[in-house]
Amino acid sequence: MSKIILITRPNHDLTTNYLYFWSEPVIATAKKHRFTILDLAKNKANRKTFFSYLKSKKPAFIFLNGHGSKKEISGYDNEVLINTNSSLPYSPSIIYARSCDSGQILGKLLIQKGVNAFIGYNRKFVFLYDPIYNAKPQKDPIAKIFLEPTNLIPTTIIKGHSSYSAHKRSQENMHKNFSQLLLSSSSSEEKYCASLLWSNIKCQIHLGNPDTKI
Amino acid sequence: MTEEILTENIKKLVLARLMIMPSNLRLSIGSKDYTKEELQNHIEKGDEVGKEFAEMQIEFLRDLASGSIYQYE
Repeated sequence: MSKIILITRPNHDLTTNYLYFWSEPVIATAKKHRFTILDLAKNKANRKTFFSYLKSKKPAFIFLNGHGSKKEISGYDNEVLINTNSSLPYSPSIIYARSCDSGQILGKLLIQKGVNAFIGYNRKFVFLYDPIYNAKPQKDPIAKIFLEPTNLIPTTIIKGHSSYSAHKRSQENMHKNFSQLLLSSSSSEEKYCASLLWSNIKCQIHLGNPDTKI
Repeated sequence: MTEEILTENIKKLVLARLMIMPSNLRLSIGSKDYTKEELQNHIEKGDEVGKEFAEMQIEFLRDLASGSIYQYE
């Protein structure tokens, strides 16, 4: 399979703007490992460009950032990129959807349609953030608690590990953060993150072949 | 839980949990982000956002009580 990764990272609202910036360390890791990166950033995260790249480049790994629901994942301005009616022009090895709910129906359907492995969330993916960091989300220590562990999914896959080990490594890292949040030395802001991080730990799912690599 | 109506007791419990949320933070959930006050309104109304938030808080408290958060693998 190709050493190509496709990343969608719209930035049309506060949530997607955080995901946009938090995808940059993943891009840096992919560059370091000499991947070809198809970066559908900002308004390039549209359906036409997405499917054009799928057809012409056939990326082995697709990393989607954006709003989602049980049946669809969207891009810039919430334009639907992929839904339960979509026909993929080939079978990608791995899809990771950092978006809400898509593990419930869409992820399962994509596996049935030939995707080898899908990682996503079977209910709302949530994170807390401090608005004073809106201009530089990567510096937000509260958002970091939630988003840094999710970056371990794509970076672990890029480093050649299996999709399931990437999923587990991310969950373990979330749990490590979770355990630290419960300590008495944590700030009130950090402690409040615990219940919501616990939700992300429990709703992150892996579907398909656990041994899938790119 | 999301299919159920939030009972008054659940609402009280979840609102009490919300009261300890630092006011400077916002929560990204679904396609929007919410302040503490906005979350309070959603919980009181018992709408989808309120129910999603309640589900997360109740699950956390339940798992804390059962000890399953310490047995996670």
